[in-house]
Parts: sequence; C-alpha cells; structure tokens
Amino acid sequence: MIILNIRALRGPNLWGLHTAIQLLVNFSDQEYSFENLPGFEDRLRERFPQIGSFPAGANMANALELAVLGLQAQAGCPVAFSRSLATPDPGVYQVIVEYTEEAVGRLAVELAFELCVAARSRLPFDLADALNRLRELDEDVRLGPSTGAIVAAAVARGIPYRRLTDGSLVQFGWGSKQRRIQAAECDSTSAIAETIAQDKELTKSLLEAAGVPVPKGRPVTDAEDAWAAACELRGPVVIKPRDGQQGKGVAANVESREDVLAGYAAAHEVSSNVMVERYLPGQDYRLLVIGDRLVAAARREPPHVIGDGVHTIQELVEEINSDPLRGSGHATTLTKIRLDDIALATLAHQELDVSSVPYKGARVLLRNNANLSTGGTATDVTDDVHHELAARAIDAAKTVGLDLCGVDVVCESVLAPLESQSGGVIEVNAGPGLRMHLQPSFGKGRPVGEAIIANMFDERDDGRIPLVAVSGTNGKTTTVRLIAHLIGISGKRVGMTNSDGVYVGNERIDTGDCSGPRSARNVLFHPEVDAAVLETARGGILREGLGFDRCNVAVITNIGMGDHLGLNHISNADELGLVKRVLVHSVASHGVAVLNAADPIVANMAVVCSGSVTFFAHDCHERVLANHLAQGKRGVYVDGDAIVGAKGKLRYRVALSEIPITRNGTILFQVENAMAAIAAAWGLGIPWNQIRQGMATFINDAATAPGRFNMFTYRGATLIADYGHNPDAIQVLIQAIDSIPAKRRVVVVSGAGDRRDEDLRQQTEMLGGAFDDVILYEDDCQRGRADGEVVTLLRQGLENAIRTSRIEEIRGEFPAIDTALSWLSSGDLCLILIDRIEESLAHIAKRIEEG
Amino acid sequence: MKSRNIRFLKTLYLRGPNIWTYRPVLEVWVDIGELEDCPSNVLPGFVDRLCEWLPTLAEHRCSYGEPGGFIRRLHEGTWPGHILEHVTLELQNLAGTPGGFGRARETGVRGVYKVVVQAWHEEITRACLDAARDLVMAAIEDTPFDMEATHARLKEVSLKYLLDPNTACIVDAATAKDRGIPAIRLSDDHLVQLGYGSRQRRIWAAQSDRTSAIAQGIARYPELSYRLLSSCGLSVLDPDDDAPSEADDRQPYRLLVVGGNLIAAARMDASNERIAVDVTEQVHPSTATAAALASRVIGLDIAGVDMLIHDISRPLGTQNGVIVGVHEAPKLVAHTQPSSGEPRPVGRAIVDHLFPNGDDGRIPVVGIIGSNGTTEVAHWVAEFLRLGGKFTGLACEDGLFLDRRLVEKGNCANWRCATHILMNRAVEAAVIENSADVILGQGMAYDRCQVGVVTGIVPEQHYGSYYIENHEYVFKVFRSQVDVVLPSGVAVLNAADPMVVEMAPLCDGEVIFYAAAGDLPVLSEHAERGGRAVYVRGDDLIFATGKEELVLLPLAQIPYLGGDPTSERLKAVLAAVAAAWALGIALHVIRTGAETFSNEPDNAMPSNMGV
Repeated sequence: MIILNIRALRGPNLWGLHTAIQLLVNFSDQEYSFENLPGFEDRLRERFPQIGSFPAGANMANALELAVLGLQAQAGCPVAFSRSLATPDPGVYQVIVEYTEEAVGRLAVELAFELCVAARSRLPFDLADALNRLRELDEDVRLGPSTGAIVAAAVARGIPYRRLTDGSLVQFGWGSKQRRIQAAECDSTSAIAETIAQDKELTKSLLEAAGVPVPKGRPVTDAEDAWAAACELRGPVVIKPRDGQQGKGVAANVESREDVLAGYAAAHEVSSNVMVERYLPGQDYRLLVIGDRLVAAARREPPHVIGDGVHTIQELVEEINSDPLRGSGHATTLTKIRLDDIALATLAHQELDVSSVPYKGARVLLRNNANLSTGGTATDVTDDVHHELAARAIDAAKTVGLDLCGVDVVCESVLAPLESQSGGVIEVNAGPGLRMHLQPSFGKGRPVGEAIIANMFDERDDGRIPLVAVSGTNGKTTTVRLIAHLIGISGKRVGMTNSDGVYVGNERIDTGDCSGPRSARNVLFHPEVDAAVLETARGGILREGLGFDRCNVAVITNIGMGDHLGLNHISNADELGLVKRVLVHSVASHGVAVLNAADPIVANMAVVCSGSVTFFAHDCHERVLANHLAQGKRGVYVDGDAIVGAKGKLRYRVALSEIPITRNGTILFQVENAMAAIAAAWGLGIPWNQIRQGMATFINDAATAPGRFNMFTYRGATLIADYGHNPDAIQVLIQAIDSIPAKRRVVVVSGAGDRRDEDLRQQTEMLGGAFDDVILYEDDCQRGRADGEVVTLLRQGLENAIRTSRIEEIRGEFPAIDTALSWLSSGDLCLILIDRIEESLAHIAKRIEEG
Repeated sequence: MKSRNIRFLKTLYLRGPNIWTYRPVLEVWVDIGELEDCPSNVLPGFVDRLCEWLPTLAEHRCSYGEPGGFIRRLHEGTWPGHILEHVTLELQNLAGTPGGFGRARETGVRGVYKVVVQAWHEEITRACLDAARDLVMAAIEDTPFDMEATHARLKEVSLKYLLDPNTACIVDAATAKDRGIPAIRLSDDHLVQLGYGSRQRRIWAAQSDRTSAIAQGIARYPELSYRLLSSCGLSVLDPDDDAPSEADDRQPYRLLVVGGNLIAAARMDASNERIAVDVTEQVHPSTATAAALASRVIGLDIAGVDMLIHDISRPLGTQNGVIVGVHEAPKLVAHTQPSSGEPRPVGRAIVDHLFPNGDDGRIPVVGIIGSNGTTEVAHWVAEFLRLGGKFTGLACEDGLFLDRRLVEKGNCANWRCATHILMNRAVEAAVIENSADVILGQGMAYDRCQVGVVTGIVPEQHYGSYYIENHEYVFKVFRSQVDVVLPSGVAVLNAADPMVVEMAPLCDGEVIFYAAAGDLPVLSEHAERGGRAVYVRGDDLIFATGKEELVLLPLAQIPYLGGDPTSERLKAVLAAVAAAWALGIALHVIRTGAETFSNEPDNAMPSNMGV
C-alpha cells in the first residue's frame, strides 16, 4: 500500500461542492481485497470500533476511505462524504474524503494509513491518542468561537469567506465589496478608538464628558491625598494602582480613614500611580454594542466556591470541576476552575488557602476577573436591560468611537437606569469575546455573529461581485475577453484570468497560464475588482477544485473531441466533460449556465445546474435549443444577419455586421464566441444596448488578444497567427480560412509533446486537406518526447493528404516562420500556428515592419 | 513698606475667545508694588542684563512695529508688567511654542496690571511665566540667573505637552483660515477632535478615526503584507530575502498616500532619517497608482509606502523597483520639512480627506449672552432645534441637557459644559449660554458660532469684578459674542438696547434685530438696508425682511406669555424666535414651538452623575 499522491480539493470539484482530500493509492493484488486478507476487517474493527460499515466485496481502498472519514468524525469534525474508485491504471485507486480543516484531513490520512497497516500486520494502534491528536489539531487550526460564529453567520447569508492567515483574520466577500474581520473586530474598527479604549483614564474622561455615568475619581499623589480624594467622593471608594493587573493591590469598598491609608500603601507597592475612585456596588455586566444597537448582555461572575462548612476549598473546586459541562479549553460551555498561582494569590488576599474550610454560605472568590476561559460564568440578561441603560452603553461605544465593543458596567441591576442606582461604565473593550453571548453558562444564546455580519453587509448584500467562469476546449480565451469587455464598458473594473495572465482593468498583473484557482482567488481578493471573468481550465479543477464556491454565470463553449486527453486519468471527452461540468454545478440558484446546445456533452451538463440555462447554437432548429426555446427559456442563435437572444416572444438582435470579429458572420468560430459572450452578458443582466455597443467595439488583434486569430498583411499576402493546438481548434481555423480568398495556402505547424499520438496525427490530417504548403517545426521544448518524434507523427498525418504538395521540416519556431514568409507572394494566405505566443507575434511584427 | 517684587495675584487660563483675542491666553493679574517707581530706564544695567540673557528680544517690534522696537521701549522706560509679557513670549518662543500675542494693561489700582500672553498649552505658558518673573527679578536685582538651565527645563516642559509635529501639521491645516475647521485637544496625548459634535472627526498623529485597526495589524506583519500585496500583482520585496546588496543602485523612497491619492514622495537617506529630498513631481503615474493600490490592499486610508527604486520617474516594472513595506501612521516631517525640495501640504491633504468638499465640520452653534434672561432664551432656542429634528445639546444655568435628558444639574453655563457638548458625537446642534464671567474668566468654548444672541446689558451689574469700572470695558466683554459670529452666521441683537445696537457693525455675518416695539428708528434704518428684524406690531409677532412683514403668529397664541403681551417674557420669546429664524428653522416649526413651549422640564430625566 503506497500513497502516490495527496491533494486537497479546496473548492467545488469533481466529487461535489465540499472540500475534500483526494488520495491516489497503489495496492498490490494480495493486499487489495478483504477476501485476500482473512480477519482483516475484524482486526480493523478491534482497533477502531466506530469505523463505518463496509459494502459487500469491500477492499483496502474502502478501509482507508472509511478510516479517514471515521477518524475525523470521531474527532468532532462534521464530515460525511467519502468515495473510493478504481483508475484506469492497474492497482491504482482514488480515495476521496471530505474535510473541514485541511490539516486535520491530512493528519487523518496519516493516521488512517497507520491504522490499516496496523490491522493488516497485527500491530497495536492507539486510537485514543490518534483521536486526541486530531482533536487538538482541530482546535488549534479551526476558527475560535467568536470568529467561527461570525463566519457561520456569513456563510448562512451566502457571503463567501476566506481565511487570510492561520489566525483569525478573515476576508468576507470579493473584490471591491470585500470586508475583513479579525476575531470580533472588523475593518471599520478605528485604530484610534482602540487606543482610546486601552487607556482607561482617557476613556473615563471622554465618557464623563458625554454624560455616561462613570466611577468618579482621580489620581492621587500620596496617602493624605488619597484620603482627601476619598472625602471629596463621599462614600466608599476603590483604591487601585493605575496600571495594575489581576486585581493586585486593589482595595475595594473602603470608607474609613484608616482603611484608605492602608489601601493606598498596598496600591503604592504595585505602582507609583495610584487612583482613588468611587466604589460602585453591584455586579459585573457585559453589554455588547454593535453599530448603534445593544445586541446582547450578560452578567458575569468570577470563578468562586460557596462554603458548606465541611469541605476544603480544594474539595469544593474539585466538585465543581466534576461537572461534565466543564472542559479544559474553549470548546465546552464552561471551563474548569484552575487552582493556579493567581487563584492562590486571590485566596491569600482573603487570608485563605486551598485547605481552608469556608463556613457554610461563604462566597470565596478564586479570581477577580470573570473570563469564561478561566472558569468564570456568564448569564444572559439581554432581555432585561432597561432602555436607558442600553442607551448609555451605546453612548459609551459611540463616544469612544467603536462600532463593535463590549461595555463593562457595574450596577445592582440592569432593570433600572444606571443613574438611578449609582451604577457606572467602568471599561469599554474593543474586540470583545463573544462566547459568553453565544453560549452563556446560563440563559439563552444570542445571534451575535449574525448581528456583526448585518452591521457589515446590508440585508440584500452578499459581498459578491458578478463572477463569470468560462471553460471549454476552444474559444474560451476570446469568450473571456469578450465578456470582460461587455462588462467593462460600463465603467466597472473587471478582473480577468486567462491562459495569458491576470488582468485588472487594463493592467496585466500576472503573466503565464493563469486559468487555475490561485489566480481566481487573487482576482477575487483584489480590492479594485468590481466583476470577475475567469477562464477555468481543467488542470486546476482536478488539482485543487475551483477557486470560488459559486458563480453567477458559467460558460462552456464546447468539449468537442477534447484536448489534453490522457492526462490526469482523463482519457476521453466524456470524462473531460465531467470535469468541466463542475463549473455548471457551481452556478448559483439565481445564476445562469451558458451551454453550447450543439455539443452533446456540453448540452447534457444542464442537468446539474441549479440555476437556469441559456443554450446557444448557430441553428435555432437544433434539437436541444429548439426544445428549450419552446419552453419559453433563453436561447441565443443566428438568424439571418444577426445573433438573436430569444426568450418566449422576446427577441433581441445584434447584427453580425456590427460584430467586427465575426467578419460579417463569416468566421464561424468567432460567431460562436460572440453567442456565448452575449448569452453570458444577458445572464448578468447587462442591458442590450450595452451588449451591442460592446460587441461593436471589441477588437481582437495581437495587442488585445495575442494568439487568437490575429490577422496581418505581409507583402500583399494574408497572415493569420493563432495558438490553436488541438484538432477542434484546427477544424475551426480551416473553416474560418475557407471564407478568405487565397491563391495559395501555407501553414506553419508544430505539436505539443504532451498530446496523444493520435491527436498530433489528426491535426496534420486535417491541414493536409486545406493547405498547399506545410512547414513542420520542432523546438527545444518537447514536453517529454524525444527529438524528432513530434515531427514524425505530424508527417504521418500528412501521408494521405489531398491538397498538400510541399512539406518542409524546420528546427525552431522563428526559422519556420521566416521560411514560410519567404515563400509568400501577393494574394497568398499563411496560417502560422504559433507556440511561444508573445515572442512569435513580436517576430512576425518585426518581419512585417522590415517589409 | 511694599517689597520690590512681582506678585501674581491671580492667573486665569482663558481657553477660548476672550476680550483680548480669539486664541487661548493666560491672563495674570500682576502686582509690581514699589517697582511701579522703577521703570526700566532707571535701573542701571537692567536692559543690558536682560538682553544678554535673551538676545532674541531684539526681534520684538512692540508698539514701534519694527525689530528693536521693544528694546527702544526698554531704554525709554517701561514697567515690569510689560517686560514680563515680552520675556514670557520670548521664553515660549525659545521653548518651541511660537505665538506672539501679548498685552499688558494697567488696572484702576496702582501697581496692578493685567498681563496677557498667548497660551497654546496652559502648563507650558505657566512655566514660562514663572521663569520670566524670576528672570526679570534677577535682572532688576542684578543677581545671577541660569539661562541655560531654564531654557533646557522649558524645552522639556514644552516637549511633554506640545502636540507632536505630525498631529500639529494636520491641526494647523484644519484651523487655517481657508478651512476654518475647529479643533479640540482631547487628551495630553495627541488625540485631537476636528469639527464639532456629530460632524467631528478625530486624529492622532497621521491616523484618522477611519484608520482601520485590522489594517494596522496587517501593515505591521511583513510576511502577510508581502503575501497580500504580491497577490494583487504588486512587486514587493520578499521579507525573507536578504537586504539589498551594496551593488544595488536602488534608493529608498517614501510615498505618502492619503485617501487613495499620492500626496507626497521623498527620497530618503538610508543612513540618516532626517535627510529627505522631495520628489513628488517626478513620481511616474504608474508608481503613484501602485502606491495607492498597496495602501488599499492593506486597508489603510493614510499610509506611507516605502519603495526601493532606481529612478522614481520610470515605472517600477522596468527597473526592478519594489515595495518594501506599507506603514500606518507615517511620519510626515520628511514631506513637510524635506532637507531639500519643496515642502508638501500633507496636513491639508489629510484634512481634505477627512472633510471633503470644503466641509468645515461645524454643527449649528448658538451662543447667548446678556445681563439677564439668557437662560430662558437658551431653553427656547434648544426647543426649536429639537422640534426641527436635531439632537440638541444645551449648556445653561439650569444644567447640561443632551436632547431632553438632564445630564448635569446646577449652573452649566461655563466653558467645561459647553465643551462637553461640542465634544459629544451625538450632538447635531448646540445651544450655549455664556455670561460675562465666562468670557472674562474662562473664555468661550467655541471659536466661532452660527448665531450669537445678545439680549441686553446692564453695565453697572458687572462693575467691581475683574477690575471692570466703565461702560467701555463692559462693551468689550459683550461684543466678544458678536465678534465670533461666522461670516455665514447671524448676530441676533436687542434693538432696544443702545449698547447692543452699537455692536451690529462688528458682526462678520448678518444682523437680525428684535424689539417689542416695532417703531424704533434702529429698526426702520435696518429695514431700509433690507435687513431682517423681529418685533411686535399690534397684537402680532412680525418677521420682517426689509419692509416686507410676515405675521408669524398673534401673541395671544403664545401660552408662555400668559395672556399678557407686555410680559417681561416677551423679550425672551422675541430673541428666541429670531435665533430660530437665523438658524433657518422652518416657520411652521417655529410657530408650533411658540404655541407649545413651556419652561417646565417635562420628560427630562433626573441624573445623578455624581456617582
């Protein structure tokens, strides 16, 4: 058993819309089937009793699959999907298992492998340890409870999210509509406001100025000044070091001169800056303010025990901790109380230690702060808060300038205004913890994640920008450019990926083949992008899944005979169709799939589309299209001298004469591209006058669409440069050329080494019927083939050529082009199938300039 | 026998506009005792000693209007109060707190002067004033004085309390005449509020209140910044790469981006932070765009983008130019004081970002002053504003109100409470009752106001305090309220009070007169000029514009007057409706207010802020 390959499918993929780990595993014949492994299943169950049940005729791939799934599930990950299946390669199987956290999924694979090996080889397997490791890792890598709640709320609203770090920094939405949060802090949270909130004295002075009750007080210079301050305040006071922590050196509720002086001395030991403040009687409350609303409120209590006159403090704590609701981290509602140094110090302050036996009913504090993570408790009181009290909390947030904050209040009760009960605001916290409101120890949980999302995104806003994904064997790059142009002329900044690079507006920000998920994610991250048009190649889909969770419009131009067959276990056009179908599967329920009705594989993809479908085909009588139109659904076709968008009785016409790339409709593959683009634009709701304007102004030349049917004139001959490199592409090129008059036709052709032999031969078979002269060239980059191998295959394709009379083999792309040019005279036509697009186009331009 | 000494009888910090100037000043009442007999020219060697310690006094123009003027006065003979003023200002200057306003005025008491010096910060000016007294006394008595130590100490005090230069350059740009945005310093740190009430924005160094805390976190995390910037196609220096080698001819540049626009750029000296050459004009447009994109990717509204570039005038891509980092709260000094090249108005750019389209950040502020009846007027005006839909703050002798909520009981017609209202982010309109005491002892809380109301003055009522002993002085006190009316604002003046009428020409804005009697000559002259006025004709309350009269409502419909049109209350009603009219409140709202107002606080909630 060897794992050949592990892939994380991070977006919608061949197996579904969920994230999944995909393994390629090699088993020997002996180890594969359970039948060959007597007792294996029992030994497996012995080691991992919770593993799911196996189908009849189960095998090792099933064992691995269910182990990866079961281990994750037992560790608390909500996963359900798994599959295993054979590949065309003997002994090689694919195992696909859903994950929620990639790292946890990968560890589960590792442990499942160990488990299977252990069961096979009768070795021990420590299940408890394995599950512990998975749980710990999961708790480590998954979002914390506050961030997690906000993300869950976003997901429920259909807002896409992406973690920008391993920590809690998360992006919501795409492009120019994106927002960010970091834990319970959002991108509109002001840095200045946070600085103010951190400075308790400054906060207090601003709150006081704003009419928010705060404990009055001032810094004091010495013990006598402390007494003077206490007298000014009249009544019990708190004496505390200005920058103290954990309640060190704090004397609360003191009133007599003697106590005040002693309190000053204690505080002064901790810090030279000592404050005397009015003592606020009552309990601690936390009020959560989001925007200008009070969203939740909780009463907080520090960890404590109540004496029974019998047990020691240690025993009382142990009893509390035996509650199964108390865990050790953030995962459970309550957290265990720790008798650590801080607890011991807190006890010492009360002149107690762990062995003390408090009298019956005595309330012994074990900590001064009420954080849940150190054993405190929270009780939801949201519905009880008096509106005037709520108004003061909102005033406090507004005064400090925080749009999302926790306001700490001390008062006897939240049922009455602060002013009527000597209550006050003691602190305003940026980035407040949400757990006490999400899962209070007592009382109702509150939808605070939803409130935060609602404050960031208007009710009807899901943070998405229009997203069009385009795939197909041929024409996809031109279609992508056309759609981007149709969107862009209204002033929107379009992010576009294709096999030449990544474009934002008019800027190319990345080069090379950018039709994969990484480039898609970059476009969707770019803060200036208002709409995205993404060429989506099969490589990325197979490798990683889509770079987005769903799209508004998916366009499949065609599958035809397919391209790159033989790679990645995709051996025929049907299988390729399944891969490209993932795009159609990802169409949103209000979205549109634009499908080529004349291509049966593409037309069949309609079944997985949860949105609507727009079919396109030259001929409106084409069966699939005709049926679709008859049902009153959208279709695009050619009618006489125009492309028509039809729905029910509606007809929108775009004259072919107004679409320059089609040359009055003579270049059929450009007509197809135009139809696909028009259908996509229609799907996005772009007005028809804008569509017409866009089609009329789209220019397809070497500068705007390099390698896409670029036409030149050289010494009176017509040159066409194209990146076509598969039989379908060659076919449409031949068709297009047929409409251009020519005395003599010359073609310059090569072949990519990673194509199948028959595909290479087929290309020249087709060219042999359409060209008089053929120049075959080969470059240094052979993609895995020996020198001369490609040219030999190409030559084989020409063996029975009807039209070709001259064949020449040239080494190097530039010399091949130069040879062709030297053969040309006025009125000839030359098709150059370029490989190194930019370099060759530059070379051709140079030659034309030289004349 | 009186001793030879300068005694400070009282020191007042006037934090806002006052009888001397619009700016904050320290006013000290000085008793020079028998030094009254020792003008500077009779003290042998005094002028030389003074000039030896403070040679820069030679720059002071004083009443001669040219450098050396003050020295001339010293030689001709002037008194210690005046000398104290100049010495204090010079010590402030040396401590780094420029600002030249000063006055020394005799009072009616022999040997007692009021010495006034501009005071940006109370503590700094107090320290300078104390040092000035010691210095002047040492010069008089011919005793030694450690000028060096004094200078050092004052510099230290100044450094502790002065705004840092980043914040200061923004505040200066905001408060400059062409923007006229008011500023309130909110803490001894560098937190400053620009604008008033709900229209305010805050700054702290080169950070605005919209500078995102998350973005700052990202900016401080080079690995993450690198990843995010490069995913948007920007060329960024990989933080894991070694520092650029010696052979590298790229130079460090700092580009300042504010609100998505490149504002300034400087070539920095790698080894010396203080050397910066302004290159703003030379930056290639694509580089400016890249800097703006970088700040947007990080999420900062104000950012310093550091780059390594060979030639700033060419695109980054052509020369291996890279972004090194994006900084929050960038230092502005490289742009405001480049060691060579033109200083850039970066403070102004930040102000324009915070207050676009010439917005001055002001809310309607109504200031009310007079010897009597001002509290009543204040309540009325606040009621009109509330009826007009504005969340209104009111500071008056009855307390501090936020809308209808009584937040603080007792006399709140003072600088502190008025400032609290202007600081409050909920407040959309402010009504502030002033008094002679506020102007004389505290200064006004606002720099300018939309509407200034002067009800009426009984000069004798103010004699005796603050050395006031004549009409002229009283006039000076009350006119302050008219002086601060904005050019777009209105002074609402009692046409029946000759002293108040005299203030009309002092107003930068419009004047609306009011009077119970519609036949005053002042009113007809005002009508002649097309001015607005409010008065009673017959049984009706009239709003007049020039000679056009409009009946607002019959007096009988104003229950507050209790059916008595001759009631003293009528004056308050007239002043208040005039102010409401000046504020542009709709007439039907004013009418409704007049028909329903009662001075009984209805649902005002009692507060005990004395927690």
